[in-house]
Amino acid sequence: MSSFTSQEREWIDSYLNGTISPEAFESLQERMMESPALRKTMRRYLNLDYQLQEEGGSDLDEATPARVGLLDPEPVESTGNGIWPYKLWAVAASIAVLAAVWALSSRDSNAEGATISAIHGPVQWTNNQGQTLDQLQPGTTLEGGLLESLLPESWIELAFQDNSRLTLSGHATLMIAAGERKRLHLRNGNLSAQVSPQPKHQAMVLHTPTAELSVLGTQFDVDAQQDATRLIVNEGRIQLKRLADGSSTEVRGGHQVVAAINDPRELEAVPRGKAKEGWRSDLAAEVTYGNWSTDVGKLAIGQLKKLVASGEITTEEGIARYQEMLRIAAKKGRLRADAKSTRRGKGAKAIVVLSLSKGSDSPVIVPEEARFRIRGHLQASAVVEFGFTTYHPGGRFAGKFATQRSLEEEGEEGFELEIGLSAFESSHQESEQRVTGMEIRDWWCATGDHEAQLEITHMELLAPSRQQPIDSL
Amino acid sequence: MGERGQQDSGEARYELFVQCLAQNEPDLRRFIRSLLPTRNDVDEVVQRTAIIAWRKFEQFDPQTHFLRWAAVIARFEALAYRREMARDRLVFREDVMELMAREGLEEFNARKGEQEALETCLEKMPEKQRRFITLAYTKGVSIAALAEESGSTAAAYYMRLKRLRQKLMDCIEVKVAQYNSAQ
Repeated sequence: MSSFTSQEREWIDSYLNGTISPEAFESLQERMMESPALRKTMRRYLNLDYQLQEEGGSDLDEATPARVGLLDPEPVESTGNGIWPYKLWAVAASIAVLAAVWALSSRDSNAEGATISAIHGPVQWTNNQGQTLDQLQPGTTLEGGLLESLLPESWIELAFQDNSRLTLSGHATLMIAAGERKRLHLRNGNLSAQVSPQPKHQAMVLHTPTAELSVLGTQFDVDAQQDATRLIVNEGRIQLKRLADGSSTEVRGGHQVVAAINDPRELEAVPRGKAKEGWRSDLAAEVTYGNWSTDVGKLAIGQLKKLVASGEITTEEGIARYQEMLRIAAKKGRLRADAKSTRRGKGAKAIVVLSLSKGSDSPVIVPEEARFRIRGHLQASAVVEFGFTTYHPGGRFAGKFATQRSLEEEGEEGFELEIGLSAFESSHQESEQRVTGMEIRDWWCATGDHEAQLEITHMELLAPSRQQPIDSL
Repeated sequence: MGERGQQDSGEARYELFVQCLAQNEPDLRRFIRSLLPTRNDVDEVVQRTAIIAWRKFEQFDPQTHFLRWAAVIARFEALAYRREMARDRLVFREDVMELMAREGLEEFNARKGEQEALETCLEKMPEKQRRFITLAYTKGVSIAALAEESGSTAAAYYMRLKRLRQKLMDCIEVKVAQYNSAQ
């Protein structure tokens, strides 16, 4: 990178790290417009970045500082421009982009913060000045910034001055605008909301990656992912706009709608399906965290190409294997736990999360004396946490329940276990400890034992009438 | 053409598409990566591009280059994706992305050469450095968290990453120049 300035070099590095400030990003783009050489260099670095991602990949075994000798990092070199506090850069960058959008909105006098009323598990707050807090307590007021619920077992409940309440649950990120009426951006994850009646023409606005919700007073639950937003309205009405085509629909109590990026169909709210007891997971359809693969799928395109190139298989055989992979992929496979950093100095956990609403429109109610049946694989003995999230039958976040098991490595056979409801403990300290009769919305498992390479191949909630010996399945 | 004939023709077309996609998917990914900021963004646009390319495959002339044809689709899909995500993501402005895409379409061979050079350069790298940079690019791993865990600072880790990236880029430049001069 000898043909451009040290400043431009800093910009490129911080862009690649994801830590560039909005101002620097704008300056970088200005220079890129002027300089073909800088654009060319940028493409070369982006190619390097891409290739390193492909080479780096996802092996959790590699992801411990001790293994790679990172406990003695080289000393920091001084640079002409100094070193930014990178964490602050990253957050400030995200916040400033949204803030610029929100600045265009009309401000009003209803500025208010949100107060934490309950919290469990690792949750992190970064305010608009870039200060990060990860030891949040009930009673703390949050007035503008980024709220991150970091792990499946995490949740946080916020109360507004008008008695509106929001619960952010699981792996989820919510941005709260400062000095505005309730204007929120759910970047990903689950949010359950009880919104008090809002002043006319001053609806609460919730943005997600694929939809915009206008709320005048209602109870609803929303699950936002990059490609789709699932909204369930339990009481009242919500106006939902699908960003992909600008179409909108009103969603009434007892109805739900999915606003997806790639859905050519008309946007339409439908009544929630009839509740059912018991559930067998469609792992491929319901995964929200974890890597789905099939036995055949392990031969990814790149590997197939290498086999063809080395002459081990012909091009025709390679194509046939790929087609077979596509056919089988939807039927058989396994979910490998994916790394999730807690950002609290405790390293990463390997996690699988399933969202039941992705697989079916019907709510799944937990019957009395139900049991979870789980099958999977471990490459080494490990302590594995299993948990699930419940909602009240009429909607609204109810609680999270979890239990741990020490599992042995069982070779190719893998492990099979059944866990009764009584084994699960509630994360609520006070009330809401009832499980039966509640709706189950998501299920997860997690381990900090990275060498175990946890994989799930079967997940089922058995109603008593359907409980059969494992051997009979 | 009878029903059977149409079915055979459809299968042949599907096989050709799969073959073209399998051969060109890594290059297509590299191209899209030059336009969008994260691996998730790339995955999304690759998927969209593959779907659109399949729908339009009848328009593709097998005598021409599939990669270039698919990259033009990818360019539009990346721009459309950018418009959806521009409100909350650090993505290039539309004019910058347009220029990057237009110029990137002419550089597929250069990118391929750099990829091969990188493999050599990574192999030559001292083990500890190679493992560091591999770790830094492991999905789901936060540099800041790792630094905190080892009692260091994120800045120190980012600085080390910057030096290693530069080292790799220097090595790639030399390898590519050596290859070009040998041609």
